[in-house]
Amino acid sequence: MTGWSRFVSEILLAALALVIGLSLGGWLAYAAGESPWRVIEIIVTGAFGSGYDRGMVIYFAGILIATGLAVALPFQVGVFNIGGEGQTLMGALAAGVIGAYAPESWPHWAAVSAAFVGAVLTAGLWGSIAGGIRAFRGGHEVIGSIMLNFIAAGITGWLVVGKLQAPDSQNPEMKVIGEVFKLHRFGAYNGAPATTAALVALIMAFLFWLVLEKTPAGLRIKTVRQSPDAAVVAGYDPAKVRFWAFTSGAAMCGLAGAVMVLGESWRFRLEISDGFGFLGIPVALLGRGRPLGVVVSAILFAVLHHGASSLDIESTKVGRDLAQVIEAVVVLSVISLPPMVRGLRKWL
Amino acid sequence: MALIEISELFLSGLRFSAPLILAAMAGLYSERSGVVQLALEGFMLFGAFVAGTAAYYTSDGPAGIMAAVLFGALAGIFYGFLVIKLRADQIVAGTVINMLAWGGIPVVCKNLFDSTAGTPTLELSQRLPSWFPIVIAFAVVLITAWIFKQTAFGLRLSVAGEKPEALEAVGVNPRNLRWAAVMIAGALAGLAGGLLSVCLSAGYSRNMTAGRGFMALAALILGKWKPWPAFLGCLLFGFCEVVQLKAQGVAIPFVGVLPGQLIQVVPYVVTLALIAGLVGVSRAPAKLGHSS
Repeated sequence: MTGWSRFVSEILLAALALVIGLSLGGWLAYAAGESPWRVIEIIVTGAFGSGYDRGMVIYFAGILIATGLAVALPFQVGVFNIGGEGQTLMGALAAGVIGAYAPESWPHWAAVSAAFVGAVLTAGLWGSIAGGIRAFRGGHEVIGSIMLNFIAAGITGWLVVGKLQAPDSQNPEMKVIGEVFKLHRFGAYNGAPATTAALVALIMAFLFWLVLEKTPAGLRIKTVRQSPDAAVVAGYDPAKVRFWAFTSGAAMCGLAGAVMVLGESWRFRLEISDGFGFLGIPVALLGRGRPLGVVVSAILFAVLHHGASSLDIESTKVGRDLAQVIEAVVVLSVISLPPMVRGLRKWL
Repeated sequence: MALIEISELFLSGLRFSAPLILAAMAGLYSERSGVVQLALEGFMLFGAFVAGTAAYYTSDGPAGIMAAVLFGALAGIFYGFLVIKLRADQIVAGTVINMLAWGGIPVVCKNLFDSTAGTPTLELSQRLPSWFPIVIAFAVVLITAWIFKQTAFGLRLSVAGEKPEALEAVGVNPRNLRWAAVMIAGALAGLAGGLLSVCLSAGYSRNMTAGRGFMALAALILGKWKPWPAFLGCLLFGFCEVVQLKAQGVAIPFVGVLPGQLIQVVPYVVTLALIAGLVGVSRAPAKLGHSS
């Protein structure tokens, strides 16, 4: 297949997967005694009905672009990053510690940059353990990532409850970050945490595309994916490429963690990653691992995620969990449609 | 800590480990046949919900558990359809099953019981005693060890994960064995979830497996994909978890106050070191993840 027809068929696949996901979700709502049209109306109103809601969608989209890229980047070299939860948690922890304990006398830009860099480095370092085990020791990155997710939860739990608990709070959380670390919220969204961080996530997606398509590093990544042997012939080590792809993917989760702390909660609390690290997987799969695809599917998932939360209030029959069913069916369609179509072609 | 507290801790450890052991055995069948099993968490959660629901409607604990086993087997067949029939990526397919469980169960639960928090509380008479899962788990390990050591089926299952060409050479289709393996995996993990909700709690509650499926997978790897070592691995994970829950803030002579969360992560760190090749060797079945 040529590049262009491949591109079109991938868009078709993603669109079809989305239609199947929404249809099945609608059918499920119907079976539960709720009109599918009303469900769609509630989700759309819930996502776009007010300035606050639109702001929340922007906030969630920024996070999902970051955690989606975290999966899509390693995916380019055939490595699966399922450790987004742990990486996001560690990134958020770094941002929370820097924000709470670094001097408040820093200028705003320096303070925010320091927290972001700290979060990105910490998340990258955390992910590099699984990436290194995969690239240099031959251990499976999926198992490594799952272990690291549990270990990250344990370490943050121990640190927050045992060492850094905010004295003024009953919840397991650290003290509030300094004023200079807080990201400015855009005025138009009635206090929703829509910040410049969403733009940073977009820029990251653009950089991802730039590196992949326009630099020697991108060529190396593509070579390793298609033929590791050719990479060896060309004189570089596929293991190193895999390691750096995984590590830079993990670093993206640091961005997500920093946005959560500096943009929304203003402090590190346990379970702050709240499944967003994990949601990067369906985002990347629907986006077919491409930067632009990740951006588009992150926005769709953000709409679905925030819009569906209104179901809890507006509907007595179905709740926000319907969104996760739709997401699951979308991924299910993405993985099962191509082989089904191939089978059908053979049969015809 | 008094003796009675220690024996209570020991019993809690066993009770916590029992579902883990069953789920680890579930993973063992699947992975030894060459199919990655990341769906244990989803299978368990389905089992827990189905058992809680069936036990509530029939007022019969064993019926609930049977339903969980049956539904688990069906979910296993569905997983097999994705990865064996359609040859979908096994890691993604497992993730899909988990997502379906996380999202789908609350939707159905709300519809049946008007609450996403869980099934109605089961009466004591609708439940089974909490020693029951321990006995079942032990029996399943015993049988599994026997199957893999003594029977043609067990031997062929291992060959399907290591050298499927050898099976084809003698006229056995390795894919049929994998179908059987994923179905057994679903049934056993469903059983694990069923016992969790009907014996160890008073019904299903939201996301009650809380990562136990992944924990079982870790124990399986720690146990080098072998029945008895995996069993011991589950005990280690189970005891560390219980110490974390029960010994929080308790001072132990000569040791001081235990940092519970850090004890809890010890088995994960050991497993991580193991797959990094830092302590011992845990070799996966040769065709794991590359079979279809």
